[in-house]
Amino acid sequence: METPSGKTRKFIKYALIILAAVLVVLCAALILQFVNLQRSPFLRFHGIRPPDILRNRQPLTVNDVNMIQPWMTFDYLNHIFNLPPDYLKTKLAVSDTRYPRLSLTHFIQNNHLDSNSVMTEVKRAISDFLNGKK
Amino acid sequence: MSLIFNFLLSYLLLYKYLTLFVVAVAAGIIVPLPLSALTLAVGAFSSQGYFSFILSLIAVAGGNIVGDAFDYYLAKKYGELVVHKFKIDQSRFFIQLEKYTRQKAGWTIFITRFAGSLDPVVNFLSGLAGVPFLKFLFFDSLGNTLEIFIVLYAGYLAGNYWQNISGAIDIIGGIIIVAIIMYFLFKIYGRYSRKNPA
Repeated sequence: METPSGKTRKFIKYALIILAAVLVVLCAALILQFVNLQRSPFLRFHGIRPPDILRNRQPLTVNDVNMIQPWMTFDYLNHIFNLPPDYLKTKLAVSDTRYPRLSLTHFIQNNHLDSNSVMTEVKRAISDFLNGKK
Repeated sequence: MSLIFNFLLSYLLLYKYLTLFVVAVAAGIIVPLPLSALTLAVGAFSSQGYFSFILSLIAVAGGNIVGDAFDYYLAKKYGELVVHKFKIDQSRFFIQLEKYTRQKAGWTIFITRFAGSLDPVVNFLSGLAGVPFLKFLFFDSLGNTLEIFIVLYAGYLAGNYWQNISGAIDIIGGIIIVAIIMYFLFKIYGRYSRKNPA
């Protein structure tokens, strides 16, 4: 009959085999992530060099409007796209007194608006501003 | 991205360091919140000038240390009662784990700060094993500050593209957790083998 310590040893052995398999899967997933990253603008240059890092922190341009997400607040959008404080308020006719400390999600939910059309409208408004600035 | 993460991001932009501190405390205690991804995002926001890097580091590290200290206190005060009631103290595996935590307290506390979900387990074990509070606090602060600095800085470097590396950070966290568990199991397996050769 197997002793308790023999059983524990067997259990640890199996646990280690399973964990090793998980480790291999995770490493493969990490390699895949890096392959995908190299295709993205972030690591398009086969590594991070100082000029690329600086580019990652430059003010956003009209090409970046697709990065806009519903969790973003108006205040944050004004900041990262260098918009005048009341530009989006006027363009989207926001009457909420909490503007600009209001997320797009809350704006959509409170006014029972369609999420996709609001997002498109926000992106268009910001693109128009940035194009006009050029 | 998950619903909870989006919800937290909105509150992060609204209440900044307060949200950051509260989430860090909750994550430090045991609530499974995506603190690493949130920290990465804050690093990126600080590169955009929307957050202060230093204040973010203080808020996340401070919150995490408070949460960890709470775990330690709970375990120290009520741990023995719970362990005795559920007869966990009769398990040889638990005794080994407690002994190991006591012997290698500093290293164990420091290294597990890099493995989010193992962090509370070691906090409880440290309280139970009677690791001196100042020793716990020192290694906890050291590990937390370093780990959070690395993630914040990764977000800072990624800047506008932080969402691209969020997945990679999660996977790296997973690899660290699995590696630490494997290390502990190897140690325990080695001890069993020495005591009970086949």
